[in-house]
Amino acid sequence: MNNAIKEGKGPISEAWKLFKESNLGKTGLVILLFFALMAILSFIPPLIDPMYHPLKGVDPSISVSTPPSLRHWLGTDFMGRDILSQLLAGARVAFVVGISSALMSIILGTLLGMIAGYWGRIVDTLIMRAADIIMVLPTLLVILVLAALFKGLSIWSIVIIIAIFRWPGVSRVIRAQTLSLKNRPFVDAARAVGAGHMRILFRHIMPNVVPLAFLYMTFRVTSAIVIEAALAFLGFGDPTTVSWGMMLQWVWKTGHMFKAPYWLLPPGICISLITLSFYLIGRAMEQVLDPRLRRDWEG
Amino acid sequence: MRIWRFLLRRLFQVGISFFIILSLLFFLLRLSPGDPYSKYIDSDMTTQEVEIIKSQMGLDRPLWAQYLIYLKNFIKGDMGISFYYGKPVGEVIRGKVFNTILLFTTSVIFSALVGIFLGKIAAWKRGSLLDSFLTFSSLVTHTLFLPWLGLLLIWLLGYKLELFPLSSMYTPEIWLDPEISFLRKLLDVLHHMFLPFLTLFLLHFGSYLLLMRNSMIGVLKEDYILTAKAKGLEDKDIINKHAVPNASLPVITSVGLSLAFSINGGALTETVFSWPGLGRELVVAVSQNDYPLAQAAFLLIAIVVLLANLLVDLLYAYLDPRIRYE
Amino acid sequence: MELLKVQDLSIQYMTKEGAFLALDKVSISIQKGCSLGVVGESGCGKTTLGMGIMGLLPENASVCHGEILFEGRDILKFNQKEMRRYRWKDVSMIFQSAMNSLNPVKRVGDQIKEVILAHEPHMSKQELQDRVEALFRLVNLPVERLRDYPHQYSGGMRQRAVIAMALALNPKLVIADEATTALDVIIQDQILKETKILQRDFGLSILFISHDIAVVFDVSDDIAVMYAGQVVEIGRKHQILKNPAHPYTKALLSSYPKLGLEKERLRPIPGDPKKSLVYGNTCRFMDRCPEVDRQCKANPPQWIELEEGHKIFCKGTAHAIANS
Repeated sequence: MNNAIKEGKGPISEAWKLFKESNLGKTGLVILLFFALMAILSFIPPLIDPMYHPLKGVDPSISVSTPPSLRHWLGTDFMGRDILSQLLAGARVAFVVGISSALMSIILGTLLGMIAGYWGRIVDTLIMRAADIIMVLPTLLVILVLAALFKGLSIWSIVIIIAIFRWPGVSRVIRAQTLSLKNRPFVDAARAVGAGHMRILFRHIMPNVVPLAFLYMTFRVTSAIVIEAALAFLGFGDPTTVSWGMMLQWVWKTGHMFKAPYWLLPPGICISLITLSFYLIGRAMEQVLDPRLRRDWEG
Repeated sequence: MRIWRFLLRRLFQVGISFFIILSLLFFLLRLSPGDPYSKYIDSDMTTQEVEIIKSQMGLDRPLWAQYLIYLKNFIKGDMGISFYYGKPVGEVIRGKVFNTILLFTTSVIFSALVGIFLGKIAAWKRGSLLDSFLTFSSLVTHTLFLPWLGLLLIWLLGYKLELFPLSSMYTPEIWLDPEISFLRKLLDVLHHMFLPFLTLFLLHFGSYLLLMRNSMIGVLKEDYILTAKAKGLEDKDIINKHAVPNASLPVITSVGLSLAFSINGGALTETVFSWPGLGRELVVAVSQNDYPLAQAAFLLIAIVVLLANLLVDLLYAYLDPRIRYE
Repeated sequence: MELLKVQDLSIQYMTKEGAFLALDKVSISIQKGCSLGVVGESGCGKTTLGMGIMGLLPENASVCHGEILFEGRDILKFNQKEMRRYRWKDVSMIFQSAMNSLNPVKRVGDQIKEVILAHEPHMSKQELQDRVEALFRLVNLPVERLRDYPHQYSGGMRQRAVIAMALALNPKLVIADEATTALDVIIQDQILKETKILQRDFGLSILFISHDIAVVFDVSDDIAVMYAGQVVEIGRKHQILKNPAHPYTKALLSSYPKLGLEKERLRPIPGDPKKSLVYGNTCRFMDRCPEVDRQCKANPPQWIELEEGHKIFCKGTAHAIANS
């Protein structure tokens, strides 16, 4: 993959070249890498000492929220658990949720977009109408209603539901691309040789459409993270996972909001920063995808 | 008249969308684990009450009949009894609609106006320090985590500086006192509204600013701007009378498109500030497993969003003569 | 005195790759009531010339030499206020895409009224309305359409509206930059005819810029041929038509089919105009010139007067003798 990029082959390496020119994009990438590092490091604290476990770790000498100290660099929460290890674990959850949700919505959106663009007419109208309605719905609120119906949601159901809400955006773009590819000579050639629809879709159209889908993925990741955080904040998250939203829920509900800035500030800063980094990367991606926006945006 | 046909068509679309949402909820209810009626009844109810509800929902009838009863009930405004409040859902919800609309619409309108105004300035002074500052602050505020921002504001402006109340919509002593003037009561509400309003505003004005800025930059390259300059018009007239009316159109579209997203934020804000609106009711209902209330709150929010969308579309159609005429 | 005299004007653009000289010591002049057509390929600098005269050069452009004298005053020395007053009142402009010259969200009538009010703010509402209606009648547009928006007009109507707007303040000079390029030939023809009538009736001077040599010949009294930022031939219409001297002019004329004459082979001009950043004194047309010879490298081009009012910018005297 690295060699392909260096040799300048294909749309991905082209995209990378353009991306590098954007200062904002590079900043976003740096921030993201920092969080990735955090996620990787999240496995370390419990290994050092079981009291550093984000959820179950209890410091025998501390049972209340304490400010930062040498033992606990960011202090402890109301149960004496280490905040820094919670923060690192939250990074891991953010990546897992963000990326898997984005991937699922990309897959779903690409499939549906291709089908809609390729078959057209009724199938197209149905899919696009469904997309329209989904786009009008407020994701968070629908998930809340679902939580009421299904008596609580696990982290994976949340991921899947978020993916279901995010596919319309992807499918629109993929559909447009499919429409333009559908009538190109190479598709006609394939058809002339007797290739069936499935084959055309997957062997010919999909490879041309997938890079675009991936480029759009950057937009999807951040909303998944924020929705999970919001759900956790409201108290509807998965109680067995420690996420940044969950941390905020604890600090709020246990009345430590005014007393423990060391607890209140880090998770919020993390959520905001990771959102910012994806946003910056997304803007740089926009410039890659739409030549008209280049150089203009950086002013 | 063109506008009426447009309005009717959009109303029809709103109706269809809402109808689909309503129906989806019906089917979801039946798909979820447990009996459908179990979501509507509570352990506190007597067997008699349970039987009444069961027959009201027509659970002994075939599915399509249940569906019709469901629709009929909704139109009548009968959406069941809220366990949490022990009152018919309609009564609980009725007052909250206004509170949500008040907070939500004022923050959306204000952030759009400010976003347009500052975006115009950022584009005109492109590349300058002011532009960089505006762009940067938009980026930062736009990506903040909303509940956290709310908590921060409560902590800093409410608790530390004691400038604003920490929660809810009004001070009961003031509201319940018949001696106090209406103006005073209004000011009290605004005082309470300021922090949640500020939270929503800060989060949203940034995206409108950036959009307006981009839009302006594009518009300023158009030939009619060059013509306006060639005509010898003053710069401020060129910007305000020619560039801005064109550049703000995409921003208005964006307001409409992001309403669903904004209402998420609205619900979160209401919860953090204990603002008695539909969003907060929804959250409370869900946490109490009070399905009738949750369903009703959600449906009402859906109507509000759909209608707000419609209004924005109307506004756009009015402002863009290419839509208004032909 | 000439109405407009551009003297040795050089304009350069600052681009990412460096400074690009768009105009190189260009000199033209227009008399009162006459029209000058400037013709050349895209990139030859003719639009820059038009913009320069209007004072509408973009920010990355700068005048590095020369002057633009309008009624004896150098507009390059105008301050902001003088420039605003000069614009549209003395010189107005018609752009290529009339569609885009009109603000889509304002009524056409309002846009014309706006420019009149900007220069004559004390006009009464009635006078304003009368003036605008008169303008529309001038260009054969129905007065009721004043209240419409640009998208409700057809292409030809839009062009006429833009012309009406250009005439709103009775300017002395109108610059038309590719004004008819986007129109179909029939409308183009109509508009050119009407333009000539207006010119005659109002004693207007017109600077007609186009790449379409047939159109330029139709409207203008004098012609200037430009190539790569320089004027290469200038003369009265009949002089150039009968006796095109510069190889580029000849090539331009032969790349157009002429109806009614013997069938000539259409000869497209080979090659593309190259935007070189540095030219120096050598001839820029050398690479594509069908009459190039060894002399061209040795002798940089100079101005050669062929007859009264007709001169070319080309190599040595042998050339001039051969053609006169």
